[in-house]
Amino acid sequence: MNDSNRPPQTSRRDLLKAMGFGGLSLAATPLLNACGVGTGGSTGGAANGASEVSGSFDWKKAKGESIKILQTPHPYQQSFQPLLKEFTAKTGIQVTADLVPEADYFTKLNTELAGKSGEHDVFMTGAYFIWQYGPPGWMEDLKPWLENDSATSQEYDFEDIYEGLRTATSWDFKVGSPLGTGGQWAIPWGFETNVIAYNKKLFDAKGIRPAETWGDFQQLAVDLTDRSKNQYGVSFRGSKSWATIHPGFMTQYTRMGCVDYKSSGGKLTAAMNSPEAVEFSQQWVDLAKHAGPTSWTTYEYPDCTRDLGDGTAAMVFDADSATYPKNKKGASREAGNLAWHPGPAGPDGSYATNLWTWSLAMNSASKKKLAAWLFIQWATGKEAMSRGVQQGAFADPTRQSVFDSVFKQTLGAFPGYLDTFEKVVPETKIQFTPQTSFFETTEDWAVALQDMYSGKDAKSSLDDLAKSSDSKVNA
Amino acid sequence: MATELMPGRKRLTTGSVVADLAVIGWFVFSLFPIVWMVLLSLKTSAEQTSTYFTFSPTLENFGTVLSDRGTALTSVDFTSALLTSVVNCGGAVLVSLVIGIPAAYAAGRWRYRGSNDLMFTILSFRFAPELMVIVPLFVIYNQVGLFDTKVGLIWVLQLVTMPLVVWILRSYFEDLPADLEQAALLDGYTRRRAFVMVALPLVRPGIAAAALLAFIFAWNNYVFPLILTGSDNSTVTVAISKYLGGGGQAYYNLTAAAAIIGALPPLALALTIQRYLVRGLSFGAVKS
Repeated sequence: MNDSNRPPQTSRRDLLKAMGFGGLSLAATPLLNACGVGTGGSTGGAANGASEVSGSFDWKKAKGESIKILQTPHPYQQSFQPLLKEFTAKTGIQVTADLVPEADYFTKLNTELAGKSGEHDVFMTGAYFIWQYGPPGWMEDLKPWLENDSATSQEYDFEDIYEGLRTATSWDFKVGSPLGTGGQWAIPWGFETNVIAYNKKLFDAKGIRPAETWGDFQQLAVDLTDRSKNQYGVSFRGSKSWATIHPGFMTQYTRMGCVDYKSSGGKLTAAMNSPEAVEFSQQWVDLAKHAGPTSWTTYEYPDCTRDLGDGTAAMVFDADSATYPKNKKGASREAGNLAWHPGPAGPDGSYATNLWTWSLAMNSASKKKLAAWLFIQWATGKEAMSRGVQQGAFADPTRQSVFDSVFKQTLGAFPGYLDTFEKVVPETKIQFTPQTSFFETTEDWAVALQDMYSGKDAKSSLDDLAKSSDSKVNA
Repeated sequence: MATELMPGRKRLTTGSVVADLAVIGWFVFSLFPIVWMVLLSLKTSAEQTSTYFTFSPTLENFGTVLSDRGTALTSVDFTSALLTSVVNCGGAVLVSLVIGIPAAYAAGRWRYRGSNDLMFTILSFRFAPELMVIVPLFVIYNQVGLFDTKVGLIWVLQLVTMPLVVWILRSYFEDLPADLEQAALLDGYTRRRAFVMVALPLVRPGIAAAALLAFIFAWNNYVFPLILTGSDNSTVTVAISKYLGGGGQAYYNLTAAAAIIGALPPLALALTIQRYLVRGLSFGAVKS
């Protein structure tokens, strides 16, 4: 019996560790942001299974096996669901997809990974979660699989996946190291850039165009706000969550020349309280007050896109893939009236954009690693991704060849979508500094913005944030 | 006088009218979420996030939830999830009654050193945060093969149902005069026979109330089935939540329709045993 087929044994130490990682973090918050893990590389995971695969590549190599995948309901998942039978026909591998709603997805996933059960062989994950799940050894490094010609088809063109996405899912888990170093912990499957979606019908009626600079953008949003008619200028997230920071805020923050941390000698120094960061953060909070949703501090992306779809919000600064479905016929009141724009450029013309990628990763405790890898390889391959895009709701594909061929053809009724994408994609990457306390420190950041929203001095809030972040990320 | 002939009838005063209006207002306020859920279940996807009351009602959402279209969206057959919940919750309540009734009888009849501590230990199972115990439970369930099984869920639901049954029924047995069983013992009954033939029939309303409450709490439980089941044994709460979706696509209308269907079995159970409930819920509430 080789290592990859051996059931993982859970010792008392493992159990305690799992309780520590899983239980404490779950109790603290559903999104695990209190979970602190060590740094300095993978520990405790099962042996990598790629070296066990030899001989010529064959899609039927794991014929007869059954795998389970853990997913959250999402347009990506829904686009692929009808295609699973094609994978079975191609490989002889049966696939069972378990869905968990997004709000509870990472609670379930964290429990499973911490428990090392190997119940699900493949799972959907975001890039930031790699920084938490990778160090304890819960994820299989896919680089050896990519490099093994016996396991990976010659036609699988990994370089075809946008570079910013390939590096987003790769890290060596060392404080101060940039992304793109170390193992390949997941393969990007679908992704989103954070840009402006706006109500084109409203803009056309008023004879206006989206703003090109940050100053104009703030003014435009205020001008479009009429509280007496329950209409406001721009919607963006404001809830007490790390997810408030990563879309519009981090995108514009970066475009304005701000950074989250400065790295020197393997140590990170928080820079959220730099003069330019304080000025921008105050402007962002003022924008929320004067031109944002009235209950901004509870707002998450479904609230933002709902308001855009209802015609309550004139603009949304969030993921393009989240606003994309609202323009589908019958999906919202304003379906057919929406358009996209890159958003305000920075003072130096920067269109730096933060991304989110739903990726496919392998559970290191999986007992069917070859079958799991064949599934990941198939789902992120050119053929299946093209078929997924043709289902009609897969935005954005991670492969340039698929974007340029199949996806472009679907964008006829989505004004500005393609231009926006092409404008920002060269500068689209994860704009955060990777660090293992990401969820905790980034939620603290959202709390600091909320404090400012309720009247606390910006400099004082961000000084406190920087101080606490310094101690957490270098712990 | 009429008031003497109908002693229960109150005089109409300004205060009583204001109080009644306040009660009606509170009633409407309390039920509004349910009204909104019903309205939402009748809306199309395009109208689901609107806040206006004028829309074209449709029953299509109920059809979707109960058909293959719903299964395609959530990967769970909602009808199967309903049946799984009925089996799990029914089984959990049955186990709790079989073990909990004798336990409650013993706790209500005998005092011994540490009896209160034992009762509070049982109660603490109910109030322990589920997320704090879920990781070790998950590990154990995987190792002993109980993951994604009905037996496993019935077992873990004892944490929810058992404390309710034991605590509710203990107060019933405490209120039952011990003389009745003493009389039966004098007539030659064994302790077990006195319990079964005398005490048990007298606490039937309490058993009905405890069983119903335990069933409802088990039915509403979300965390245990979310973590401890997979695709084979999804319960109704997990199945409903899957309609909330993600990635900018949420089916609030389908979620509302699923929630309404999901509320029917406990409602039907409550109506079935309604005649026991009024007496059962108030019995034991006031100590003599």
